[in-house]
Amino acid sequence: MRPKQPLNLSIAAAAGLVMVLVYAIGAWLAPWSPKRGLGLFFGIVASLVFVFEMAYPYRRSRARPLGTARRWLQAHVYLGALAFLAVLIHTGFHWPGGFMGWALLLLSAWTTLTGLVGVWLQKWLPIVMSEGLRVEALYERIPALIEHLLKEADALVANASEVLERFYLAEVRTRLAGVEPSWSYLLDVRAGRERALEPFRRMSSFVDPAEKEIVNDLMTIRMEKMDLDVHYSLQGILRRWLIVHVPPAAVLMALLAVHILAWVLY
Amino acid sequence: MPRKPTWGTPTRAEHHPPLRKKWQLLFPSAIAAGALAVILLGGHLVGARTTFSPGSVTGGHGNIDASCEQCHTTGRGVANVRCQRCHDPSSAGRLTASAHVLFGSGDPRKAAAAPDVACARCHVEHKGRRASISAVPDVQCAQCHFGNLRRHPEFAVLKASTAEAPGMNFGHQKHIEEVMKGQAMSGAAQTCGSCHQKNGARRDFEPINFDQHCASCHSKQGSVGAIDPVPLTDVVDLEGLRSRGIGAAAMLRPEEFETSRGKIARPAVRHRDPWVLFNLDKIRAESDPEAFAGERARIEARIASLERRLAAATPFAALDRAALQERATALQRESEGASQRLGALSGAGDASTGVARIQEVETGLRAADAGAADEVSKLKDAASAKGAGPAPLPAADFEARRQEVLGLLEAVEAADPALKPRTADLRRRIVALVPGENAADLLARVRDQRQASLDRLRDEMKLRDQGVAPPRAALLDADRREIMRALADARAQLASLALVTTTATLSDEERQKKRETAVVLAAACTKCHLLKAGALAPVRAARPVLTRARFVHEPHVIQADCAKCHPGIEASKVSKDLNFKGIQSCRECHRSFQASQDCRECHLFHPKGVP
Repeated sequence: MRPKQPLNLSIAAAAGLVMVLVYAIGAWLAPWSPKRGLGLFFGIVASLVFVFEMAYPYRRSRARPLGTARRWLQAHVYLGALAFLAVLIHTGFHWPGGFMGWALLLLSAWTTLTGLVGVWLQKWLPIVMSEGLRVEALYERIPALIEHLLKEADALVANASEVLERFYLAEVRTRLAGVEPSWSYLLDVRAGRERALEPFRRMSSFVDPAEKEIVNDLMTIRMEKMDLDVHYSLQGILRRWLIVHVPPAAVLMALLAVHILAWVLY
Repeated sequence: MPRKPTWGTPTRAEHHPPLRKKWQLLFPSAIAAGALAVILLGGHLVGARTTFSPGSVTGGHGNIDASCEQCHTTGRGVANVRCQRCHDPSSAGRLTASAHVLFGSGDPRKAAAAPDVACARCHVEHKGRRASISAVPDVQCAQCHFGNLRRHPEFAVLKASTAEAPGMNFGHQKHIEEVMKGQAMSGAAQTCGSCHQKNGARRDFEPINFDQHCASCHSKQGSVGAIDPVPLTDVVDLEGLRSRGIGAAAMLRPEEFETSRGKIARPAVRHRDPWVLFNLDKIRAESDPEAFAGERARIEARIASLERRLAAATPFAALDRAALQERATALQRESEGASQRLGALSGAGDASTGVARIQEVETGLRAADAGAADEVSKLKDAASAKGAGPAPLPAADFEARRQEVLGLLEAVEAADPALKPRTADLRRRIVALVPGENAADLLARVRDQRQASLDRLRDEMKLRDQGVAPPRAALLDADRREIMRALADARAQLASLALVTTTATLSDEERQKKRETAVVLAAACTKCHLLKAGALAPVRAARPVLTRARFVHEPHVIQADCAKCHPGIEASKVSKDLNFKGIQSCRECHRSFQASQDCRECHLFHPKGVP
């Protein structure tokens, strides 16, 4: 989990420390108020950074002025975290007093938190999948690959004994028929694997030696199917975590606009 | 042949997988967020204001929570006039920073130079229903004052060499001994409660009162002493008292007076005897008319000021648009008048005009008298030197000059009652003067006050146009009641002085004789009271001595003996002994993890309502 750009982490940590120091000295010298002086300054800084953060989807088509999408991502992550710190300093580390204050604070916290969780998922899940699974597959291709496995399994048992065919129909085919995503793979990519393979081991002791090979082939197909299920689950999480990040960020921007308008008007 | 387990990608794709749709999440989110913003703004326009608010207002402001216009002005934040609209309806100006400086320093020039501070700077709103808007953090006070209790200076009343005496000859020692003897008490500490009695409501002590605390010893038979014979020519007798319509004279009986050979005596007088008090006033008016005129002028000035405030405290709800406009026009006229007078004053005070005139005289004299011309030249140099001008009078001389002028005004008014409105106006202006302050400063102060009132009135008219509700009448009534009470007291004082009429001009010798009569007349009183300039000094026994802070005894006396803060009280022989250790005794308990050290625990920022 080491950062890809340790220098950026150091710069962000130093910037955060400076911000907190500025707050401590400012609050010691004069009453802290979000409406004026340094309190207002930090509020404006946080707002500008939030606006910059919302420009993140432009990283591929127009990576300038940051040069590359990677730099843009680094800026998105570290500036986002600093923006939340700026929000806390803007409030003077006090709880808000009403709906708008709470909504702004909670949405800022939620967006920052889900962003950091997303960074962690992007780093951790690919490693977990590459180390724990044999199969690799593009998310969009997984349903087609599973269908292919089903056809292969159907072909294997086409001329098999009645016992094996019954076993296949009862315990195997249904598990191969479609994608079976599960949250449990987030904890362990090999979750449920031993339990899934146990019927195949039991079956191989009942069938003829000639059919044992078919049972073993079915078992490898089932294992491939489980790998594909894990891929489908984890890649799905990698894609869908944005649902908990982007819409709240958009709502935050809307409330921020209202908040700024209220400040200008009143 | 067994099936080979797959490593990597199982098979080649027969076609390219569909690409992810760009912006598929951002567009709907942006549209939803935009819709939310529109709903919130629309809600604000139709009156759903709380969503716009950064937080609920404090409980006291709960009834105007959804009415932003009550406090906010578009594009200008929260103006002080909006706070004063409800909290200072009588336009006393006591909530301003300059009032705070005047309250603390007593110096009107410093007060006039004080920067304008927005109420909202200290009183932060929108922090929730239960938040205390008056809980101003110490760091706010530290902007101008010392930062903490350790650096708190000694109390001014202790630092001052002339501590204010409570107007009495009083020694604690003798009284403590008498109480111990009379009530069979073993220690001095037990005696405090005999006179300093708790007042449950204020959590402090009842003020010392003659009837309650002194009469049992000092007026056992209803008499506080006797009065030796004084000349009837210096005093009025009972008939004279009654003929002037003094109500309290009804309690006096003719047999209480002994008259013989042109003199009148009283074998027994009661406390606050109306005959004694009236005659003391009469003698003072005759023997020291200037001081008497000064006292009267101060009361008249106070009445005028209170009447003005009472008029300004009329609920705006009771005034229609025309009345508001009329008041605005009057204020505008007063403000412009002050500005014009200021302009005229600065022209009259132009030093260069005078210097030019001296130069003309010097030129004229040069040929005829060289010595005189040199003298004039020196005079010219002195006049044109930097900082030249009349030096301000010392405070004592200033007061004497003021009383002299007020005495002259009294004489003018007595000679021609038709001039009364003019003399009353001059009297108010003279009373408002402060030693060392020139007329321009005073006029500038008046102009600024009128301008502030005018700003407030214009704001009120603007609010009226917007349809914003006026403050609740109850908010204004409290202030009006206080003013009316103070006004009634001042009018009663003036009425009692008005009963004393004298037009005779006395020689110095005659005045001295009158003063001697006053001493004899007040003999029974001066056993305890102080006679200053022919008048009994006002008594302030056991009243709070801290003028800029409040101290509540109750939480302190339940934790320690009185002697902890007032050591040596049992040996005190004079009334002006404060008998307390000062700030050091506060620091003994008010420290970290023991008792609060917050400034607001003791101090008041704003002076109290009606002084």
